[in-house]
Amino acid sequence: MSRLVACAAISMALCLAPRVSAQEACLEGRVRSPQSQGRCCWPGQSWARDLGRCEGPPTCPAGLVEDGDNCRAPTGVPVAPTAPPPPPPPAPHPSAPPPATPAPLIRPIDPTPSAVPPSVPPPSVPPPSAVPPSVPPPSRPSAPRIAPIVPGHPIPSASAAPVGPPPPSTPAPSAVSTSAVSPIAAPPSSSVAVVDLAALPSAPAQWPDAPPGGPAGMRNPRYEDGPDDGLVAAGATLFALGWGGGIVSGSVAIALYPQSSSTTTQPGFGYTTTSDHTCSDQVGAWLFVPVIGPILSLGTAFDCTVPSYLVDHTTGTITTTYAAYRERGAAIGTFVGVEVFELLGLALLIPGLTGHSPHLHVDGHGALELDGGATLAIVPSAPGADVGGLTLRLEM
Amino acid sequence: MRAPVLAVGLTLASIITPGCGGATTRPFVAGPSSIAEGPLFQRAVETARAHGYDVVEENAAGGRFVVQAHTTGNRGQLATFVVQFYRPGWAQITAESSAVRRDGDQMHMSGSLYEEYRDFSVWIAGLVGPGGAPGATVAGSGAVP
Repeated sequence: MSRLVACAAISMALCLAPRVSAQEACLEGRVRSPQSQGRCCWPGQSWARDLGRCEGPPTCPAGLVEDGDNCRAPTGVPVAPTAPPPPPPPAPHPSAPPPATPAPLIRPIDPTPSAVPPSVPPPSVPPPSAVPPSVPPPSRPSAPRIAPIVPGHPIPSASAAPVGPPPPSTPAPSAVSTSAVSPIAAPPSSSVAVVDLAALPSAPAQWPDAPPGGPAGMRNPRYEDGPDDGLVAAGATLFALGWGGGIVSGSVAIALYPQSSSTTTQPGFGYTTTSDHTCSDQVGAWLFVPVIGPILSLGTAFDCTVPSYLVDHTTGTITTTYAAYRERGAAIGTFVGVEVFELLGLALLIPGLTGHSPHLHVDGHGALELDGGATLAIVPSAPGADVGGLTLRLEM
Repeated sequence: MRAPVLAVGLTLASIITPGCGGATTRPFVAGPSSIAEGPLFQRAVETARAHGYDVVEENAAGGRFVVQAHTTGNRGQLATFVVQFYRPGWAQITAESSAVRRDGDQMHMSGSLYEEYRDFSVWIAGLVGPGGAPGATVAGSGAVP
């Protein structure tokens, strides 16, 4: 009989010791609540099982400030553990020995820095008869999440479940929190510890804190479908150059040949000749019209003739002769320059506006990348600078 | 007379010669993510591997991993992409190489290296960015042109 009692006592010690530690070790003011499902969360938070962490705006204890889903010390102020001193472990049974020494088969695990160190109620360990009714039943006896651990052997998934040194005998505000000790003990009859892998924090421990607003840089690059900004920009530029050149050329053609005429009078005859202003006006005016204007301008240059009038004062007859427009060469040059630019611009602009191509976008401004081909990249300065608008820059 | 002609010629040659391009960019940043830190880091590493990158350095505790870039500099210099995680749920991706010239927070690199760096950053941002759902798949996350 005494043997049976001793075995029951040892079993209880093995079962309850980690549980006591888990209950005690909510550090830095975290608390357990029904919403936290036994985890240590900041007051006001609940446990998000899908995310594997506490979620919700925390009600931070005095001395800590809210930082997202976490509470942290103000800058420069170290976080002091505010957890109340551990209560004395409940006496599970009058005959049970005090659980002074944690079970050596339990391994501590590194706590999650921002998330709450998980600690779950023990799974379904067959309770010996000595277990008091105050011990709650296991809430998550999920078999796939329980893996046997042989002492001295690593946990199979080392990256997901880092294993640290053995736990301290008393809860202490150290890097290794006893709250992270999986409160799962091995059956006393075997040398195998059972660890709930889901309860192990797989999060790294020492990620640096981002500055307010996040690290500097271009936020969340992504490709988005839409008009091909590169083609649109390149086409618009070429078209604008061509059209602008046409307007300038037309203005020059009109301005250089003002309306004028001259009359030469000889005895018995009078010659009245006109300048080329009529043709120049027409040639120049057509250049103001985009795309088809240069074509019409070129046609006008070849069709237009310059009249000259011969007046015979003795007979009173007038003889009219026509000469070809003398600036045909200039008209051809203007046509080629203006029309080529305009048509090339349209050739890029139309498919650019109607097409759908992925191009880079980042948060904050319409950063985009213009790629006019393999040999020439036109990129805005936005990808390289925080500017409010788009500044195109030619990269060679 | 020769100098202007030479300048014009060199300028035109630099424009029409492939491979002489470059790009200047600031580091890409992704986040904040709602995914827990551990899975977030792990998924990012697996995403990099899924896209064929060799992870040459992995420090889960420090929230940093480094992959070998597939593209080299103009003179064959090896380059790496460094993914540094920050709490809560941010990731900053930078390119490091002797072929990457740093000027403040600006990085100047060859056009081809920039394109790979940009694509890699988009992949990571597809996972770590606000649009990165907790259930996002590892492979193929992030749009690829």
